[in-house]
Amino acid sequence: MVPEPTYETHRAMPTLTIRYSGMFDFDGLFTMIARWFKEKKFWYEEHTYKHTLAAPFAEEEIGMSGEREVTPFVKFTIDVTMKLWNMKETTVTFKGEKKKLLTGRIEIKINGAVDIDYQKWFAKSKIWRIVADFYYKYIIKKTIEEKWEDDLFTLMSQLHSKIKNFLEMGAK
Amino acid sequence: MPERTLVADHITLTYSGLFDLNAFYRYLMEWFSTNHFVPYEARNEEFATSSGKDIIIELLPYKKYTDHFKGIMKIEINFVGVKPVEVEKHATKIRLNKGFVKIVIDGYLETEYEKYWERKATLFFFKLLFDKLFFKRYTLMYEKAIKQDVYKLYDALQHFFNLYK
Repeated sequence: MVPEPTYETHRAMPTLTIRYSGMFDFDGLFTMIARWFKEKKFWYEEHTYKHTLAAPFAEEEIGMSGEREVTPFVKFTIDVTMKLWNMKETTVTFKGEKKKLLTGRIEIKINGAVDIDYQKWFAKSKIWRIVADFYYKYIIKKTIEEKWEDDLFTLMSQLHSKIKNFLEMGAK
Repeated sequence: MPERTLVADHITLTYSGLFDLNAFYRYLMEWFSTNHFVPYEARNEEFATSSGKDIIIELLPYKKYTDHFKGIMKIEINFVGVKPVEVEKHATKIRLNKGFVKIVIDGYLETEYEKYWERKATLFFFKLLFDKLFFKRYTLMYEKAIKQDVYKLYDALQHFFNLYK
């Protein structure tokens, strides 16, 4: 059996959380996040959609994720989970136009990870594992920790502030 | 788990009155970048209540001093009953916010954040021995550094809210 590398190859970033209670345009938010993934050249997919009706309110859980190949050796993954509670649809007139908005509570969690050697090139044999450990620890360590991890966290922070701007939150 | 030492405990600032919420946030982020801290916003919550908006922000900015020492601040900001108001200043109307704010700052020194010396019990023992005995001078030096940063931020926030008046 090929041993696991001593250097962590799935490098998870800290979670960014937004919680908001009030009125918001959910369709707009959803489209904005999906468009952001496409703009930043992520392979976008929607992996979870749950809708629960607990009258008079509804609950929803949506999971979206995006993957981007940085090099054939490194991959970025961003996962966005949205949970909605006490959802209720309301119609509002905004600048003379009727718009459907949602009132309720929303929690958005942004998770991200840098995956190194995601194609498992170094998982072929024990010798390759030793080579990989040496490569990670002494050759590519700075690039992983100071470039790729920083790049991904900057992307996550950009999405985070974009969502805050969209929800017109006070601290943005 | 990396070892965390609490260096500055619950440095609290409270303010009630007029302030610019967006300017406050920008000021804080600018302070982090000028003082070489990586801003990490762990939590940002906003609730609409009958008395205005309640906002909770939890920031965990950090600064890597060396490969072994890392300074972390935990900043909890609570805005209660924030309402938008229009104020006239030098014959021009400006939009500000009115409400109550409480800021609590903690400072931590994290050692061995890369978890290299935690793979084996013997390695961990040597790490402790070096931290507490041989490199005590360095540990104290970085503890002092993060404590200074916490008080520097506290002063900066006091300046922002004009509490020196």
